[in-house]
Amino acid sequence: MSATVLGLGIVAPGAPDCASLPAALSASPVRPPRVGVVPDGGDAKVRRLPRLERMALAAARQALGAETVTESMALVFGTGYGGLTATVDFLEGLASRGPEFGSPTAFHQSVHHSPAGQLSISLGLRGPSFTVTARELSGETALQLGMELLASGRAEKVLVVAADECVPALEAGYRAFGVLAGAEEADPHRSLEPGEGAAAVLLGTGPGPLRVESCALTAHPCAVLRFARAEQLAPLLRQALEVQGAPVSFSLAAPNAELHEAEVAVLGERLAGQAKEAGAQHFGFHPSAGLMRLVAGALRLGEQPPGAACVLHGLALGGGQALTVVRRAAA
Amino acid sequence: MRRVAITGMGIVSGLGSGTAAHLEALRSGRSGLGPLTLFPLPGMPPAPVGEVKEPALAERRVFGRSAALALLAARQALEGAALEGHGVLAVGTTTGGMPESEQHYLQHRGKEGTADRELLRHHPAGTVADVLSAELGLTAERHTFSTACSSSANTVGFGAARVARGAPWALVGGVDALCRLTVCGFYSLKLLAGTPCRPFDRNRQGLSLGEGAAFLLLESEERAAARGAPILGFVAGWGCSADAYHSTAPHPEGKGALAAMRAALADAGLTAADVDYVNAHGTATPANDKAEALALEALFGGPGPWTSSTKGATGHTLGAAGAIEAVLCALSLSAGFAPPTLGLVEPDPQLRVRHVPAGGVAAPLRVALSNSFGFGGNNTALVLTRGEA
Repeated sequence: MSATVLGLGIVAPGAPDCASLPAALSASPVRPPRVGVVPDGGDAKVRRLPRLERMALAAARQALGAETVTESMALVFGTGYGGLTATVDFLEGLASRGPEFGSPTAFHQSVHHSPAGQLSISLGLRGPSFTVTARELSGETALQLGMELLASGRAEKVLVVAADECVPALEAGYRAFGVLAGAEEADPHRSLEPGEGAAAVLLGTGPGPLRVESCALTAHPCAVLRFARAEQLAPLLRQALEVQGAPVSFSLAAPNAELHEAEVAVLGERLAGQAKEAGAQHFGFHPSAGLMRLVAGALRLGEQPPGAACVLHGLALGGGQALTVVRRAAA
Repeated sequence: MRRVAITGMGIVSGLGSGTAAHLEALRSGRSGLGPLTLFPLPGMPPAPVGEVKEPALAERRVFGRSAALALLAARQALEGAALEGHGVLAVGTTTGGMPESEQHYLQHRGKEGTADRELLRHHPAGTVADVLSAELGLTAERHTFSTACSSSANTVGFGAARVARGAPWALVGGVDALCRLTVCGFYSLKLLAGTPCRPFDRNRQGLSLGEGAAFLLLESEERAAARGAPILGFVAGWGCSADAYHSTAPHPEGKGALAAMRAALADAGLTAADVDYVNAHGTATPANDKAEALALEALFGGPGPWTSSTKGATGHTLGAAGAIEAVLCALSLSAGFAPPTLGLVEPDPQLRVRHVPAGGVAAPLRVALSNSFGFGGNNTALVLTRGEA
């Protein structure tokens, strides 16, 4: 099961579009923690949308480009937390004024599918439309569903979008569990640095210069706030060792030193001398980061020789793991 | 889509726990709606809900109420099954761990609240699948669909599609627990009825919320036969569309709903004339029932087959509704019994729907169409067929 990449889009901290991403990545590790400018295309209606939906729409429009939208184009949206700003706004209404006073606008914007609904309305997408959520593999899970829709003939093209936002309440949650990077009580070896942003990939079938060759998901029974153990991660990671190409670059998922050691333990020799793609340190730890890393990797592949591949590892709390391979087609 | 066998089913709702309790409730016309007792909502007018009263929910102290409901239904669906090979787990939910995390917010207003941090542990909607995976020892791929009220209908379609393309099995279903966010949210939208909901009734005032979970074990017919598993029905078709019209209101002519139903029938290789029973989305909001009735009329070219909404009995269980109604459809098909719409007293004369009369209809039923529509204009239809068909 593979798919052709027809378009890419991104809204990242310091990079409102694909063209500005390389400069933002080269500035790492001094990256801005949050997305600043979200392009609105001069559309006043877009400016009124919640920030999460604006990020998703901006990334989606980049990936769509001049592509014609038809009813055979599906939409898959991935998000870990959905409209957190709206969720907080709604609950704040209940807390401050009482159960009768929740905001109706915040309520519907708190629904995970709200951004997908807005994308459908704004872009005229009337085909199958899905929202998936899978902790820190929400982007990869959306990608895999998109590839499945193509492989099964349920869609001719699929717009895969992932977006998440970081809000103070989310950081407070990480701090409550003692894992927020930089917090006084956090163990630096195990701490996590949240991020935010949006990415989009337009997938199709047929030949093309860039392909998502595979997207494998695995999961290990695991406590909900733990990662799979190093020995559980190894079998899927070993598949990365078998990816052929010249060159093959790797994008690692580990959000902290402990997990990075586990990745390096398997890939160590293969990593030596290879280009390292943008990893977790560039985009932070959040559910849509996997798709953002894929966009970054795909953009770099455009500068690589035919046959070059980028292997992206994904990791989620709760035991989930992903391995995605993107390749520049052979000449 | 090659039809896929249902070899296990589990269900818990305001009507009780297990398929037998639900079939009995459908036959007797028993409602699961009653007063909300899970949490106080001072100042809000009372609205009946379909609340689950199962002692087994004690597990919620560990996992959160949604995951506990899901585990209860999933264990029923897996009873006696041996899951081998690289299968698929797909869960549909809208709120996940919100029943607990909203308590944290209301106490700590977005601050750390470290002493109560356990209330946040299961907040992400995807953790329901993580808990099922851990508790049931599943190494399956995990997918969580959160397409509002069509969430778990999509898991059923997705799981069936994966089995049809070679996955050995799929455990699919959905869950949503009652919480302040949804009860107060639908109240804020003025969509919550103050009395038990009345789908398709001329005096309908809005929906009644419910909670629950349902799971189905799906396998290829060949694999089910090989291991001697009972075939409880088939998932034969899955169709989806987007309205691209409004954030919360359906397309007024039901165009997206019609497209989803047509796609599901085409996927099943069937026509509208083959459908014996429709389990409507039927939320009892003025806009939904009107749009859905128009879509049904356009599909069938008239009043169509027997149609009912089981939300009059269960309440609207949001992300769980699609899977709950898929299980109720499978039970209806195997029992040869179309359940009535509880609360429907005076059918809206503007809606040309062939309502199942009070008391239900005993008739041979071969094909059921189950509709689930959600916020954001998301439409999903499933086609289910009888086990021995």
